[in-house]
Amino acid sequence: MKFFVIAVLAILPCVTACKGNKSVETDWQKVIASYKDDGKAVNYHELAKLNLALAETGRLAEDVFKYTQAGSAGLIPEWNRTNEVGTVLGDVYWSMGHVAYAQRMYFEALVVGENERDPYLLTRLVQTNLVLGAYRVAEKYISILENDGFDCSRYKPLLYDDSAVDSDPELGPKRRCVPIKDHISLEEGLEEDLKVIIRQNPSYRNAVDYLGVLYLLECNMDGFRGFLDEFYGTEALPKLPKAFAEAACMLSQLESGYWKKVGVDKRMWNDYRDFKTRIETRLSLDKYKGTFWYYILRANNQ
Amino acid sequence: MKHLTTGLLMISILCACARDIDICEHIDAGAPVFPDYSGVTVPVNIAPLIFRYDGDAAQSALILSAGNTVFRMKGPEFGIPIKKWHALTSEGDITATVCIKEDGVWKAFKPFTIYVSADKIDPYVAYRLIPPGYETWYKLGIYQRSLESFTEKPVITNDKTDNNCMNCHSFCNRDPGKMMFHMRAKNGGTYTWNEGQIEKLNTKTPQTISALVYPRWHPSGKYIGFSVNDIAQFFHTTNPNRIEVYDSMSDVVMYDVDNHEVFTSPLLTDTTRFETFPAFSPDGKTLYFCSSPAQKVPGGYKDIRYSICSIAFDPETGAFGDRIDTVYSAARSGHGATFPRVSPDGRFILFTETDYGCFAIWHHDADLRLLNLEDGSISSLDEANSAEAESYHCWSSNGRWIIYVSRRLDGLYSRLYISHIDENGKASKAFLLPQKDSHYYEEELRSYNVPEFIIGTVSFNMDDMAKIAKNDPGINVTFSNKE
Repeated sequence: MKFFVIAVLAILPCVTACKGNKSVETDWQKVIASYKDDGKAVNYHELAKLNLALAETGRLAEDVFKYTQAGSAGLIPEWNRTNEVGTVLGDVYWSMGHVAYAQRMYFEALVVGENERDPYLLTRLVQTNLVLGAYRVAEKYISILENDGFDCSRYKPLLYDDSAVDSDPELGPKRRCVPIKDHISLEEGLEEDLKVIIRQNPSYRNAVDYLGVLYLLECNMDGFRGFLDEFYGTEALPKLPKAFAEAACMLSQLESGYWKKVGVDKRMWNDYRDFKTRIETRLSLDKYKGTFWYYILRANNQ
Repeated sequence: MKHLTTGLLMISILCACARDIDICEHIDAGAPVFPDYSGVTVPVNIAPLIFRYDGDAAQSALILSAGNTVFRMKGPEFGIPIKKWHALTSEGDITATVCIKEDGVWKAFKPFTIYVSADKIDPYVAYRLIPPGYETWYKLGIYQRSLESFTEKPVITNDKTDNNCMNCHSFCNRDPGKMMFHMRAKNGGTYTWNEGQIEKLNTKTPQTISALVYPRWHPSGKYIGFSVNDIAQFFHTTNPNRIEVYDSMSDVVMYDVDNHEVFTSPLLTDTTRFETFPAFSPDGKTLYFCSSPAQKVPGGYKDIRYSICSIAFDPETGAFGDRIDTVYSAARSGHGATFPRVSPDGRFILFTETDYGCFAIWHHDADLRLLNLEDGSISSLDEANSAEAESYHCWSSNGRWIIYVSRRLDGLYSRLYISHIDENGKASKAFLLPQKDSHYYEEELRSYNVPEFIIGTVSFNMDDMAKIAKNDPGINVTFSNKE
């Protein structure tokens, strides 16, 4: 069976402040390769970093269930007022295009950390402030980074130049995610905030992937169905990635033939029927480890 | 004799510098300097205004002159010695000429004036230094700084108290011997330093919304006015104000220092209104506070606009008056007022005006305003304000100076500014609190918070305070029904 593959494979450039040759960029492939899946997924912080790496490499909605998952806390860990989790949360919100909340978490992480001049967090704050047009704050952080020996030539030319930020390949897409009309962050839940981002910037893949995966990790099939109803077939979601297609098969239990409506491959549909038969006949489900079906079965049995 | 020798040595050094700066040309522009101290008015006893030449020329110099005193020095950092600076301020207004050497000749930018006022400023200011964060903190403290020099010493820092949060320091009539502040989270409580004694207070009572929050000492020292607030915050997605801090409920109460009681009036605890930010007239017979019709929050946050109201208060009996007067009407102005601070002569209320809400420091539009209590007029204090937030203001003992925070340098980090207020309520161009190094503010990642003038230094021992914070269970404050 040929599964849908997300076309967007571009690895987003990351933090680029450098001190000499010492880069503070994140090697997402290395994060994925070094992740140790112990089958328990009790370390939400590490799991969130893995899922972030999948998102940043365009694989989240394809590969999320290849790894043992643990609900939404493994996607967006609970804020425990530590530098470590604050940094991960900042990266997660930044990745999904929630710039204001990313900035909030990066700042919290900086403030609570022992190094008030943490170059990674200061660089992230340069990025968020550039995107939000707070150029004087960005300039302050750039000045501090430069005084500490970091090269900020990547960002300095963007100061006070809206069109340069708009056309920047890294920051421009983030800026297009910032809602034109202000609202209270997370007031109606992260899902609603992500919908606002997707409606405004439908080409921003990570928001779509995070939203769909968030529904699936929470086993929120009604929410997921609403998500497909609104976005499937639009620029935001022209085709379903693997995890979404698997979930769409399950939705066909409530609406016959739904899988066809959302373009699920027949081979996947047959696999889903086989999966259900195996449950009924108590056959091994091992071949379906790595599917949403297996995840939700396990989640419902816990 | 030693002083005389030093003085002669200085003069010879200055003369040597003078020989080096032979101005051949004049540049028809103001000098690029930081901080900008051109045209500011400073108290005669202020610490030197250290600034730097911020242009491209390789060589720069500064000539300061006042009366018969002239001082010259090489740049780009103009680190004027304190004694020499005070020799200049004692002469009156100072003319500053910044020069640069280009193509082998010295060129002078247009000189600027630093106006020196004979009105002295209180010798110290206390403030909190904390990153402008939201929920978290690590290192923070309350500090006291000499305004006549650059000496800064901690009053209390949270490394002594398990890295907890501390806030809302307040003094009675700028007296460093009558101080209070709160510790939050670990070792939580309100701490008073009064008559040489430290007290830890547990201030939440069943009858009040919260533990005591925003304070103002009554001038008699017998009471402290407080608000009690249910405080929350949220983050904007787009609004440059970033965050809203708001109350879902608030009242004003009075704390009786000797009896460890709080009491209030139904007029200060109206459930249909948010009452907060108490302040007192100098005679202690009027309590001012902010009051807004209660709104459903967070949705109604933009509709919260505080008026400044007053109620009579009898310090002898603790009785409140039976009516509320409005001295600043939010409905009439279309804006809201926060942090009322009454001038020492009782003629003015200095407050922060903002479009809406109570926590104006996060509002870019927040500006200081001066309400004349005699005729109700409001001065916009343009010389003290900027396009960024101004707030957390207070008056000097003589009522001629205000110190406050402003975010004008970068839009986020609060810095201390000082402005002269003349007897008619007119502000002079504010100046940034000088530091020994002109780069200090660009490097500093903590904000200045709640500056309060004090007439001396706070003398409690930090270790003693920490011991009480950690070991003393504290006095349980009770609620009294007296009205």
